[in-house]
Amino acid sequence: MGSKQLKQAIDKHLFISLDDELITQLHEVSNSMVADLNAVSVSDYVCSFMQNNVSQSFTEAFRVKYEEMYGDGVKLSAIVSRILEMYVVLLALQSDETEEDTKTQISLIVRNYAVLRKGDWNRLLCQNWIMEMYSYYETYAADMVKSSINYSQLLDAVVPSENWNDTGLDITQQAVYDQIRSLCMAGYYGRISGYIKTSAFKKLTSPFAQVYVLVCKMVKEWNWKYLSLSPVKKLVEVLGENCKRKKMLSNIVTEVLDEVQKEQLCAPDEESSVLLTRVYNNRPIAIDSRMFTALEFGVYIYYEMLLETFND
Amino acid sequence: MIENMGEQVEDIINIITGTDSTSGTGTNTNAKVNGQLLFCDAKNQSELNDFIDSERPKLVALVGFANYGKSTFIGALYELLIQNLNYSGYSFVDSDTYVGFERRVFLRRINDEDTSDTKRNVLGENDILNLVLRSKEGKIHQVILSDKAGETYLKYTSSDDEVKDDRVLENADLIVFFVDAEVDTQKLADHILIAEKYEGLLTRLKAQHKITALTSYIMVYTKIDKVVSDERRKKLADRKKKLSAIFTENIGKEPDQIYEVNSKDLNHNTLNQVFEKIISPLTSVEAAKELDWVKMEIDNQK
Repeated sequence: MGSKQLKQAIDKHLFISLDDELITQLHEVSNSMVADLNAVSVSDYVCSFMQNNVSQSFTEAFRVKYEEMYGDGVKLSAIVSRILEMYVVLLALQSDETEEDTKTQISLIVRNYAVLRKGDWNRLLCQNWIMEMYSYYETYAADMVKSSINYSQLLDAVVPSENWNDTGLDITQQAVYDQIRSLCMAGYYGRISGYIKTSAFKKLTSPFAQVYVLVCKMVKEWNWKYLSLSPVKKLVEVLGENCKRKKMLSNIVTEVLDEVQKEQLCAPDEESSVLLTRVYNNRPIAIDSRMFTALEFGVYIYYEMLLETFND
Repeated sequence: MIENMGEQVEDIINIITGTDSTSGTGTNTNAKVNGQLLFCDAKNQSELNDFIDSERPKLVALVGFANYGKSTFIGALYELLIQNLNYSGYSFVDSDTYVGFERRVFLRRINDEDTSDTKRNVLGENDILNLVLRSKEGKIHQVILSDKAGETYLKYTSSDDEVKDDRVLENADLIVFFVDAEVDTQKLADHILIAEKYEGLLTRLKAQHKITALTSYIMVYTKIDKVVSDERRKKLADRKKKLSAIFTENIGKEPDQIYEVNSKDLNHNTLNQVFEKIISPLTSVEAAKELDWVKMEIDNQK
């Protein structure tokens, strides 16, 4: 694809096009920055981009690389720098050199920071790139989800028998293993059904507190990522009509903190965990007045927690 | 020291009023940088990209020949914006080109036909002005105005090279073509001269792909207060049709609207309608709904 996608993105937003030679140079410099990217720098660039800013560290790193490669400095307008800071991230995702796990992490970082644009998408630059970035997580997650639950043959053989030999099942067979795994998955489902009947869960009156606690358990204890690509259906099933309840983020945080004990709160490590950090630190942020339904809040924090536990 | 300060102040006044044709040369402390006479003066078209922050601003080109009333028009807009906390639903927040506007307000006040465009052209004045505005809902948007000296457009009528370097018209979201209603309603020869100049200009602009059938444009007849008698009103109606036909033929579409304004009367209703059209933000392109990935996931799963 070369620098064509960069040229298209830049030309779309400028009155006066940059010349092709400069575009090629910008592409080469961006490409050379991919190898140095890590989760911290990606987080920094994406966070700045989503807030219509240019990361200082990106500007500096780009300047140094450009001077290394082409000698002189280059003066770029703010909008070009913003496009470039996202272009470097896009190139990392498109590169065959980048490992699949890293691509997934980057994709989750982009998804997580997208909350900063909730209700304000029209002015977002490079929209096609952002949608492409989202998709890398789905590709990965689809492989994570295991086969559907089907273990009746296993139950019929195991329950009447006294020992494994009586079952006549061959443990080395993949089909038998798959059934055992699907039985274990059913165990996860059972835990959720059991948990929502406990007094600990029932005493939570706020749907936002309920969804917060439930999502914590789905990610950390019940490995939901192996059961389904998305938490939506389960959250709707548990919350019922309450998933449509809508509140301002600042009020959501108040409700969660009123009902969830401090030790139950997730202490986030990831910079991109915008909502988890908002709850844990209880410090106002720019999107405090944005409205979230309980379901939206749950989905956002589910993915934040997924990234938090990604390397566990 | 006080004498020096006095000289500097005099220099600045001369530059702003355009009465010093030697400014920008010699020992003048306000030497031109990129065509700018003063800090916060109008900018050059080569700096258009510098106005782009998080989104491309609206670009409006004001086109007309010398003494057609462009400076008076733009000076009136600036006065209305700084005098009213809320003008047509927008508040004036800032500008990087205050001096450029102030000069036009000054020219509007003296409105001496010998000083406006001619002096500005002699000075090689920059044409790009910007307005940062806030809507009632608190949203900030920027409007960039190009106010070239009328003599520049006269040069366009006879030189493809001059037209080729224009970066404003091909990027403009709206072009406002000015016509001096007072002159247009005098002798037939005066009307024909206006029509010929515009035909020459439009032909060159079309040949250089600076205007196309996609161009959004309006025509503004200025100095309408000078067209009072029935005879002149009739002439105006008649000649307006002829001139707009020339525009339609060359651009490939009719003007979005034709206005008649008196830029000296800040309460003039039509003048305010034109200003509202100019300062209103661009209609933003609806973002792809897939960007709100959480909403998409919820919709898909449900």
